Amino acid sequence: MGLRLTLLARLGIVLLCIGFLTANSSFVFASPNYGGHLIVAVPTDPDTFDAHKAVAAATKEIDFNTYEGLVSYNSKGEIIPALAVDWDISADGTEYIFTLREDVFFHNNRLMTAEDVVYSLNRIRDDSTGYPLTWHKNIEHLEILDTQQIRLVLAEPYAPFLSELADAAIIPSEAVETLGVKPIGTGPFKFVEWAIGQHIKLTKFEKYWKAELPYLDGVTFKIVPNPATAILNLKAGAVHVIPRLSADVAWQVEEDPEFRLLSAPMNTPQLMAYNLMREPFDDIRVRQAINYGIDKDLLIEGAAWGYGSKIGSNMSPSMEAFYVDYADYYPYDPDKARQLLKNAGYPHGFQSTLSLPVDYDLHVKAGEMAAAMLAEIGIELELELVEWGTWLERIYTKRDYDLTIVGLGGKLDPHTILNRYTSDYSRNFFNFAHEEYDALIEEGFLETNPSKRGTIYARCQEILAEEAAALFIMDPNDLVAMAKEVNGWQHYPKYVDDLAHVYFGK
Amino acid sequence: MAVIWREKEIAARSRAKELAALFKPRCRTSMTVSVCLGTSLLLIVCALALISYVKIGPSPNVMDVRARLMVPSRGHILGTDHFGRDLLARTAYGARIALQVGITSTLLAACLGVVLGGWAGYKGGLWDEGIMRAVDGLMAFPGILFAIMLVTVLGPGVFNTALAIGAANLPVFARITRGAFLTNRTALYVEAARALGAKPSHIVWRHIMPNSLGPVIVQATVTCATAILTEASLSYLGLGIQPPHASWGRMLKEAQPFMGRAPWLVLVPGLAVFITVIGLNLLGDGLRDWLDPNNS
Repeated sequence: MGLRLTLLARLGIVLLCIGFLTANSSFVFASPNYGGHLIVAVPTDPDTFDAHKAVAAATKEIDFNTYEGLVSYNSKGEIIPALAVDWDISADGTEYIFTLREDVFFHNNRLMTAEDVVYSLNRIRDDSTGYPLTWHKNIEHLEILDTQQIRLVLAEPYAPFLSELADAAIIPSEAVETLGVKPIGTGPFKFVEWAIGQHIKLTKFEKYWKAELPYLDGVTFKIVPNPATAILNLKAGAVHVIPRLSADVAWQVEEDPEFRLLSAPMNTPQLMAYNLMREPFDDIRVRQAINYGIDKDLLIEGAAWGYGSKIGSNMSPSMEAFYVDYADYYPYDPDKARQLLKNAGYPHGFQSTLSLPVDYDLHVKAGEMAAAMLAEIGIELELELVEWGTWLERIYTKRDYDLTIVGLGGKLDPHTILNRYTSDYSRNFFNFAHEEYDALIEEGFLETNPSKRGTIYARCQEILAEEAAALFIMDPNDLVAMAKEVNGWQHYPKYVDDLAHVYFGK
Repeated sequence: MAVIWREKEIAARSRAKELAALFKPRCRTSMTVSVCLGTSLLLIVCALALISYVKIGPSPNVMDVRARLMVPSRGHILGTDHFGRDLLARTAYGARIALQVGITSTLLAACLGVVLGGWAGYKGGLWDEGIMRAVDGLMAFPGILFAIMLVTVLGPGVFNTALAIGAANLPVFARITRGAFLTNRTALYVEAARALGAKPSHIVWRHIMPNSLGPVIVQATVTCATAILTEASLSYLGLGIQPPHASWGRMLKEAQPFMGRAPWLVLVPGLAVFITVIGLNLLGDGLRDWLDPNNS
């Protein structure tokens, strides 16, 4: 009897070992627990829960848990299947055939059909919906092939199409009237209530197509505008997670064993834009002088407490497949900077205005530091704080500024990231114009071979660095503070919170 | 019986006189104490502001990130902020800004308010109606909101901030002056002057104005205190004084995340605002007792 037991035990041990060896995830030791209600601190209310109309990043971080598109992306930014299990792209890159998943339910317990997909994409294509992106204009034709297949024809090949499609939520047509206040999607959590200025409550969707997800019973997004208050809430146990914590308050949880602080690049390159149409920034020597005159390491330390990665072009290190390191293209060298200014005809420097978006403390701080450093090489900057609305209208749209600091983020494809420097791009607020660059972007847009795209976008980044198209400062880190019992948090290179994989551990 | 009653009355009266005599000097002392205290607090602030003009010690905007959030030491008497800037130098610069904005905006509000209110009060009739309704319209906006609106339109900066705060405080001065002019216009001494053939300008400048200025001066000290608070609020919101220049409101805003780590960063500018405002209020209180004609 005893012998048999030991044998069984041995067998058990062997089986366990095999299990450990074959599993490629590190989570296998602490298998996720089910249950629990997570409270997440977010700074503002969403603008609208209608996924086809929302523009605010604050809305998208919540929507990620309630809505899904045909495809989605994982924490590395790679495209993964979601509501479509598979897709075929024609050789010329204009025709897509999606095979839909069969067992997908909406939160109102209705099965998703091909009609819903076509309805949703058509709603996005309809100009009167007011979808804030323009890529959908490229869709020429959309049809249902059979109950589980749809065909989509593009006017011209568009390499980033799939990554754009990840944001195109599939919604049920019957819920469209109330979607803005009562979202209904197919995501792992379903909406419960929205108390404006207080909280948004979500609960586990039992019929989610990934049967093992989510782990949590429910999630509450608590609205806490002030980071210092959010930290106090975390310490008091009133919230479990603060995504996108301000680096200024990170010290409060850095050393505390009761909490964890996760840190990863945010994919939001911070830069100081020059208005290239204005003197003296049309002179490359002046731009180079400014690049040489800024000590980026010190600036990152001063403005972000070191929580940032130095960059030298408009690409975040988190875009691993495309990133080329130009961070030290212009090493800190104030003497060289003064010499360049002298050559450009400004031996005593000059005066200019640096406009800073007051709602983004990180940019204001970076601006203060940059101004102090540039004063050393003779450039006197007057700082001007502008409200975000004014910034968008006056600087981003009307291009009425000398210098400004901003973070450009939320894009997963190198085309959509770098496209903004093309001379005919409507939001090219740099006024950057470069023939080779325009041609390269055009080429990359049509190219579907990944390695060729890599070469093209590497050259694009090099041009931006060479031309000193802007002062590329850093990719600030995305800091997430959480109570130590919260597990499974994943950083995304986009402004989203993935709560489906989060669970409470010991 | 009647005699006793009368004696009692006399005794009571003399006691009342004694009491009054006892209280009168005390009343005077409390008045001088508040003026003295107020003035000395304000002198501290003025001295602080003067430091910012004298180029000794660290400069308020020079950063040294490696020496950030330092505790008070010999090199930095009040410590350093999150950029390693000297807190004393910044508080001193903040005092300069506070006084500049406070005094400029009060002068603006007082001058314009007195002219408008005086004109309305002296002329009466349609003038009175017209001016006072316009002033009422201005008064309907809460002061700080009105200032925020103006700064948004005018753009930030020291002078624009002062202008906005001055405009927001103008209605009070107009009201006070008009009230004083209304009572004084029909006073006997004015009628006497008029009977003697004095010109209206003479009556206004020589007779009515001096007798109406008391409450205006008192109001000016109070307004100056509010103006400094409003400037701090505007700068806290990022609308008033622009970085990197120091303003008490902005310093408070910047120090907020580090309250638990470097409490002096919040305490110092907070105390500076407190000292200035309490100083001005004490001074105003003392001046009111002193200038009030009914009090002597």
